[in-house]
Amino acid sequence: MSNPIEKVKKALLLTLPLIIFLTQTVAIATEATEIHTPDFPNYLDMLYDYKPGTQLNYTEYLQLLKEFFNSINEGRDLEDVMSDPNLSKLQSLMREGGDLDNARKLDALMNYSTLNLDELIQGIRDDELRSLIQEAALTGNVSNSLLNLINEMYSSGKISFDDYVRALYALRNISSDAESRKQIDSLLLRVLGNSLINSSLNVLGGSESLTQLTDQELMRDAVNSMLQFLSREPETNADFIKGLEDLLKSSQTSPSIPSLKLPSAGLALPPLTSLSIDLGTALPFIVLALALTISLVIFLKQDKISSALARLTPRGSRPFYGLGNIESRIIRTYWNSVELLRKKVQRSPSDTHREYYERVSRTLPEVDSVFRNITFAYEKVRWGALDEGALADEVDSNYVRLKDLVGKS
Amino acid sequence: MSWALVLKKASEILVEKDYEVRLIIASLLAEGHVLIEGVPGIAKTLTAKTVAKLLNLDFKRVQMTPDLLPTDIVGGYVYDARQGSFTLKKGPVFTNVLLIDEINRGSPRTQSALLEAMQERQVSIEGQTFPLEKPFIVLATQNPIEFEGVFPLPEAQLDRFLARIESTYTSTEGLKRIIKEIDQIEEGFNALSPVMGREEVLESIKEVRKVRVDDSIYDYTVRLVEESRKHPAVKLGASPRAGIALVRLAKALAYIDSRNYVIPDDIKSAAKPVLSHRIILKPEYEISGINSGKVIEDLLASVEVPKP
Repeated sequence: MSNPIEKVKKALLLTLPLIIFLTQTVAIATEATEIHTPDFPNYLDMLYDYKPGTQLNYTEYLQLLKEFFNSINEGRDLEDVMSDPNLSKLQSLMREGGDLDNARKLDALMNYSTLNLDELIQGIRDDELRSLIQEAALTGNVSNSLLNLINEMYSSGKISFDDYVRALYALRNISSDAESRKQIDSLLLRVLGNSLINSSLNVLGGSESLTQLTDQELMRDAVNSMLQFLSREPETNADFIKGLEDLLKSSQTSPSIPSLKLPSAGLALPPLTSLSIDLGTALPFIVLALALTISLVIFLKQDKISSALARLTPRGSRPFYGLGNIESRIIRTYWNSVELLRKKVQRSPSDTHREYYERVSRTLPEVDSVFRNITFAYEKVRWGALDEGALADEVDSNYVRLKDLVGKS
Repeated sequence: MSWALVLKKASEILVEKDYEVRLIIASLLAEGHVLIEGVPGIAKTLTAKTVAKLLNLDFKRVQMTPDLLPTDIVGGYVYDARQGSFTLKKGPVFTNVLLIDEINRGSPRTQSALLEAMQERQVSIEGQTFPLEKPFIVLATQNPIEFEGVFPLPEAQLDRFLARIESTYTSTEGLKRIIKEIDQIEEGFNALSPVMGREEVLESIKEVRKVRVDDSIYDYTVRLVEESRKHPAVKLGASPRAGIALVRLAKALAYIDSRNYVIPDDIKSAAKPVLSHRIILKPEYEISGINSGKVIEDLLASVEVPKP
């Protein structure tokens, strides 16, 4: 166990490499903050403000919408339209765009087309509608009045979207009349088209989404296809037309999009990598700090610093490691002897003078006699408070002999 | 006073028991008591008897059993029909050297009565206090491998023993010598004459108190005691009483060594017997084979001795 002064010394020496290392680390970190772009905080804000839909691939979405509505406008029949793989892709993009309601409607439109009549009728939840369809199934007759009634029920909100689609598909199965089937198909296509338009207004309608569109021409084409589809319908939804026209206007009035967030945020990305400390720069400092610490620990453990300091000073005025106030010649001579012998026989801080003497005696038998005299003289003076008297001269002469013996060995 | 002669004479009778004899004598001079741990048949009784005989001290032996009563040790008033009155019959505790064999076989009540006598150096019988004659030392033995039918001494009572000695088997040569020379050993013991008397022992006890202890030795002792509480394997470290005992035993050891001053080696020599029964280890370390002796070795190897 070391005394408080030694503890402070050790602590200071061990702290030195740590300070060197930390200084370098702080310098690198300061430099990193200086090279940041001012927009970096905005980039972080945008990251935290992430909302579903901002990651949608608008180009693909608009392209699919355009192609799909063009194909409907060209007069494709219902079965072709429903089996179009683009419809499934559109549905996926609608989900990505956050419009789950219309995606689910599209799902119903595609799935119910594969069900048979019984499955369709049993799935209808509204009792009145179900009985109407069952009655039509018995008679095999699908009248215009029935279709009008069902349309009326849906538009008034009496029946759900699911029931409406099931009813239309059921009537399509029941009807043997080509005219009726055509009428039902056009109703189903209208429902499908309305769902897609509604969805596109939801996905594209937000100002955030609009600002991220890069291909304005594609958007105009898609909107025009949708408007063309609506123009063919006998009953058009005024809100849809207005919404689409607004989209068209916004794309014409802002031909370029200078305030796009993503690219500007992208400019702030490089400083992120600058934040991490370059291993190549830090490694030499880490190695240096480790080497300094290890060497200091080894030196301190072996008391080599004290020996080195003692060797640096002239012999006459040599200070003693921890012996500053000791006036006794014998005690000083003993520790000088220990210092002399330490080169050949290590002394641990927990060793007593007798333990050290025994080790020296075993290792260097030639110095046994003289070092024994010095050790026991030291013991009497140091622990027994014996007056040095004539003993000091004897110890001095023993020390001279010890130096000779150690020099020869 | 030649304690070296006492040790030499004892070594003529006792084979390889120098360490035990030295510690028993040191404990006697430090006015402490000794707990001897060892298996049966390793000359614990002979050691105690030899020390008592060499110092010309009265010796008594008590074999502890579960049915032994406190009065069997301290004594009591017995009705004398001839005189028609109660007379005091003193127990075996009224002696100089009291050997308690297998102390952990006695009931806690009897142990407690004995330990009270050890601490107070006096006994109370029927309200009357009787001081015990000086010097007074209890040498209690216990078998470390007995676990059935015993009442282990609580930590607080273990703390009352100045030192604990772990008595072990002799070496092969020592064993051969015992077997070969047992008759001469017994004859030698019977023919043993005292080297000194009770008065000289009492004088030595006074001298031991005067042994010089440098202030740095006290610091060293304090560090050892405090470090014993910080050791990772230790649940309960050394108490202040342990520190007092350490210096007392070190002084006695220095005195036996014909010195009137304590050196760090004395503290180191006293550390194991004084601290080993006072340090309680954590169960997980005990299971892994660590014992208090190992902890004390760690302490002595890590605590710096006073300099310069």
